[in-house]
Amino acid sequence: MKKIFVFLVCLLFVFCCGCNGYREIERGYLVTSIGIKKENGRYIVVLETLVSDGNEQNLKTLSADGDTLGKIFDEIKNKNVKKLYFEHCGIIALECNFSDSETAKILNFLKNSNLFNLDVYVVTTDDVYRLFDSENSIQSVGYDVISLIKNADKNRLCSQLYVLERKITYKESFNLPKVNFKNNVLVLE
Amino acid sequence: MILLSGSVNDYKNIFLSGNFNKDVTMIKNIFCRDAILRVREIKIGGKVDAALFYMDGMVNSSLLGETVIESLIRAKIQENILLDCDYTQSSILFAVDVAKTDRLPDMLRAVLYGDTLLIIDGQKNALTIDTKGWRTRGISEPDGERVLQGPREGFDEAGLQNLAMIRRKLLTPDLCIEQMRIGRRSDTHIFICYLGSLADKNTVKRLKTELSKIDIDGILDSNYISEIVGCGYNFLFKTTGTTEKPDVVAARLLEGRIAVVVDGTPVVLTLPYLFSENFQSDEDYYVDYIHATFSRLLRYFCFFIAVSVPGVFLALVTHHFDLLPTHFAISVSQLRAGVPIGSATECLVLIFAFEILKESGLRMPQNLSHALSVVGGLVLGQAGVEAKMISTPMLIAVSLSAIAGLMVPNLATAVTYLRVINAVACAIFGFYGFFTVSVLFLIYLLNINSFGVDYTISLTKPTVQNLKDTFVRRSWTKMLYRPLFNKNIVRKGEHK
Repeated sequence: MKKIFVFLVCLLFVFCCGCNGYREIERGYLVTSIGIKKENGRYIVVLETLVSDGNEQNLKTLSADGDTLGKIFDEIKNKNVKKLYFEHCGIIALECNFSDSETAKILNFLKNSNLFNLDVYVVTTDDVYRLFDSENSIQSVGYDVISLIKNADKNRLCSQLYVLERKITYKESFNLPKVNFKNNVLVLE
Repeated sequence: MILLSGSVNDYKNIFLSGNFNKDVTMIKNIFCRDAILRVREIKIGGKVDAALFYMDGMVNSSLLGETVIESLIRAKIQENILLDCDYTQSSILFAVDVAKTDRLPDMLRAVLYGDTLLIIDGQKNALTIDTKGWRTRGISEPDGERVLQGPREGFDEAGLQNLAMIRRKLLTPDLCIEQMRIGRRSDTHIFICYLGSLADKNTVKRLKTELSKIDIDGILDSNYISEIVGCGYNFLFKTTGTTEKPDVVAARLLEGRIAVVVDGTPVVLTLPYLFSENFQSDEDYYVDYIHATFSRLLRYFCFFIAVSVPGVFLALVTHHFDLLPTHFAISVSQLRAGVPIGSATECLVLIFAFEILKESGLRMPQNLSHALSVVGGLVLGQAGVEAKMISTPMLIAVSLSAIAGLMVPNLATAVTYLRVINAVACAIFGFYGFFTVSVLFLIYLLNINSFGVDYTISLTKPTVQNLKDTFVRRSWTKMLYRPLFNKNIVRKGEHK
C-alpha cells in the first residue's frame, strides 16, 4: 500500500509539472534572420520568419521599434499570438550606421539573450527593410545569405566573418561582410 | 465419492480390497463422470477374473490389444500357480513397461496419463502398463525460431517426446532428468534437466524447492512456472529463457544451465537467463561468426532504436528543435502544419496503433494477417498522412522503432513499455526526461537477478572471455570458457 501511494505521488508530480518547455514546432514563427537599424535614436528590429500555414511554408516579416533592444524583443513576443523560435536564426544583419562600440553592445546583448545559437553570422547591410523585403525573394533571405557566405572565397572573407560565439571586445574594429540587393540580386561585398 | 481438493492424492488412504467386484466398482465410481474411461473385463487364461481400465484416445489400441489383452487371454496357467501381480508381470504380459503398485493415487495417475490399469481378482496390488498412444502434433519448425541454417526440429506438446529429443542431442549419462508433478487438478509432469557435472547444484536445489512449493490448480504452459518461480517484480524482463528447439536446450545445458520441460507445451524453460541472451539467436552459432557478430550488434542497436527513437524524436520536435538541422526543422514544421493533434499525442496514438496492428496480426490466420498488415500499415498510414491526421516524420519515427523492435522478439514486452515510458518522459521533460528514464532503467536492469545470477553479469563482469559471446560471437576455437555463472568454467581442454 505504501509503495502504491509513493508511486501515485511520484506520478502526480510528473503529470502536474505541466510539460515545461513543450513547444510545437509548427505553431510558431521560425526566425531565420534578424535585421537591426537605428533611426532617430530608436532601434528598429526586423525579423524574417517562416510560418507554417496549412500546407505551405510562408515568409513573414515582423518588425517593432523601441528605445532598447530588450523592450523591442519583449514587444515582438507579446504582440504575436504565435511563439518566436530564434534557434534557427542564421543571420544578424546590422545597418551600416552603427559605430563599432554600438555594434559590440548590440552583439553582446544578443549573445547574452540566450535566444540564438552562437554560430549565427553577423553581416551589415545598407537597408534592413529592403534586405528583408519578401518581394525580392521567394525564399528566406537569411538562408540565401548563408549560402552566399559558404560559397564565397573563404580567404577574402576570413577576417570579416563574425559569429556570436566569438569573444566580443568593445575596442574591436568590426569589419563585417556586407550584403545588399543590387538589381534584385543578392550580393556579398 | 467426493473430491476434496481435486487431486488424486485425495485417495492416498484408500486401498484395493482384493474383492474384484468391489474394487472394479470403486474405480468405476471414481471415474463415474468420465465418458472416455473404458473398462474391459477379461479372464486371464480363461480362469481368473481381471479388469483393464484405460482412457479411450489416450492409449495405443493396437499396442493394448497385442501386448496386453492377447497375452492375458491366451496365457496358459498351470493349476499349481498362484496368479498374482508378480507372476502376471514376469510371465504373462508382453508389454514393455509394467509396474506394480498398491497406491490408489498411482493407479489413477497411470490411467489418466494413458497407461492401462490391470486389476486381478484377489489381489490388493494392481499393475500399471505403459500403453500411451495419444496423438501429437508432430515435429515441426517453430514459427518463432525459424533459421536458415542449422537444425529445424522443434518440440511438440508431448513432454516425453521432447525429453527424447533433448537426450538424442546429448548422449551422455551426465544428463540428469528429474520428474515432478505439479498442479492439484492437472497433475502435470514437469521434468528438470541438467548436466550433473556442469549445473550448479545449489541452483538445481533451489529450483526444486521452489517448484515443490507451487500450489496451483493446473500448469498448462511453462509460463505458469516462469511467472511463479522466476520473475518477482521483473515484469519488463524475463528471468527465464524459453525455446521450442532441442538444439537450443542442448546448447544451454552445455553451458551449465537447467531446463524445465513441461508436459503439454512445446515451450521449454532454461535458467539462469542473462540479459545478453535476449540478443542471441541459435543461428548465430550455425553461421560464420563474423556474420553472427554483425547480426548481434545489429540487434543491440535495434533495441536502442526501438526503445528510444519515438521519444528522442519527440524531444527534438517539442523541446530541442535547435538541435535539428535547419532545413530538417523547416521540413518537419511544414509537414506538421495542419495536423490537429499535438506531437506527443500523435506519437502515443501511433505507438498504440502499431500495438493494435501487431496484436491483431498475431491472432489472425496467416493469409489474413498479410492483408491486415497491408491495410493497416500502408493504406491507413498513407491515408492518415494525406488526411493530415498524422505527420510523416512521426510516422517514420514510430515505424522505424516498430520494425527495429521486431529484431529482438525476446524483449517485446520491455521494448513496448520502455518506448511508451520514454515517449511520455520526453514529451514532458525533453532530453532530461529521456536521460532520467535511461538511468532509472539501467539501475533497474542492474538489480535484476535470475536464480542468484546477475542478469547483466556479462556487462558487470566484462572479462575478455566473457565478452566473446556477448556483444560479439567469436569462433569456437577462441571461446575457451563457459559463462561466468558456471562452476565448471573451462570449456576447452578441461581434462588435459
